[in-house]
Amino acid sequence: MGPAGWFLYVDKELVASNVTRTNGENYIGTRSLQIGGYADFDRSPNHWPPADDPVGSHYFRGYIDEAAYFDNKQPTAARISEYVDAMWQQSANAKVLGVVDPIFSMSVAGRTTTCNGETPTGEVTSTSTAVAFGSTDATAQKVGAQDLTVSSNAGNGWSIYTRSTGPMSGRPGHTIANVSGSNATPGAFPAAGSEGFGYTTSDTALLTGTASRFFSGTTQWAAPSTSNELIADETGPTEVTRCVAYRLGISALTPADTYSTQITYTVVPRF
Amino acid sequence: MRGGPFVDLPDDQPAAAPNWEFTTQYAKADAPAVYWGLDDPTNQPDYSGNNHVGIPSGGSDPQSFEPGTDDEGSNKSLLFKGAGTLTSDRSFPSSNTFSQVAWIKTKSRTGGFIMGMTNPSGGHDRVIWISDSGHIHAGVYEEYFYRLKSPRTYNDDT
Repeated sequence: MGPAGWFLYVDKELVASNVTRTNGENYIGTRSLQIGGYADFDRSPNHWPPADDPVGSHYFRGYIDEAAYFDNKQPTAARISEYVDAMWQQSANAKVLGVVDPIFSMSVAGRTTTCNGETPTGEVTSTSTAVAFGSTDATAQKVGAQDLTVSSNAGNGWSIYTRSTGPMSGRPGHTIANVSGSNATPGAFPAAGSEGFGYTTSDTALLTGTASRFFSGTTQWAAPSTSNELIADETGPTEVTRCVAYRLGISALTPADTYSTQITYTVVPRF
Repeated sequence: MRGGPFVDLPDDQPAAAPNWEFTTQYAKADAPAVYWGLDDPTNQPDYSGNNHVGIPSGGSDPQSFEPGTDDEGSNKSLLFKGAGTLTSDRSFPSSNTFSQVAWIKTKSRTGGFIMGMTNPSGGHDRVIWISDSGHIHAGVYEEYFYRLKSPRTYNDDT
């Protein structure tokens, strides 16, 4: 209500108006805001409700939210529309009655077929918990692989990271050097007769760094790190299997020993 | 004023309470004199920054009010159960130009007072109510009662 008249909007629709009525009670002073009801609202001398459209209670029964009073302000229809749109958006959010529970799982399995261009060596045994290269020598490098399957309805997808406890090692002083490539910049595997241990991933669309850095015409390899490094990711709800291949090479002077390292996979959903 | 969406829910489901959050983008930009978020049945903080706290009366909790809960159990609106009132703890200047707004969802086909202003003598003005038939009314008084009435009805969420 104001100099332009008196207007009643419901939702964003102007439903009633009186352009000649520009003020209410002839009292300029302070007032209190009251919501929900008051005694005698519908009794003499109030008689607010007209006889032809009565109310059965002084008090409202239902939900009230976001009650406000603006003094010395008469908003435009456009402003009212903006205001209602904003509230409707939030109302729509509140009307969701169904709840979708989060789903998230990862499994690891041995792989015997080609992974990112590398075919596992026949005598290498890969399971869900180990890649056993067996006995090896400087003339033949060996490859083993594992499948990582993630199933999740995480709205923003997920990422798998890998880390190791360190280089392949045996008794004190016996280690097999990792390859020189890194997760950020994988490289070619050393020629046969040179030491090297590294991994590659079949994910050619990584979300950080160069997306297809693990395959550029040939398989590219990275040294396992003791810090988590990205090996696979997705951007939405999905079930996807990615594989990780490991390759081992030794030199003629690599000390005879049994070597091992521990790899940890960590998958992080983004709900 | 909002009367919708008044979605009719199956009988075996609880009615979802409104879940409108305080919208600083609009409300604060327009500098309200009073803004109650109505998130719980205790005294209502005034988000306008003017500290006109809403004081419950007309019955003690929970007879008069209870939090409106959404499907996540959050308290986001106030359910008026037909006996309660919230009144600002202090009066404030009110000129002849004004706007008032509230969002409602009915729980009854019995009408009632939604909001209005009270002067220090107890006189009411600038009143908004819903009738038993569901029409939204606005009323002011200056020697006579003046009223506006919505053509449509908005009480279909009983």
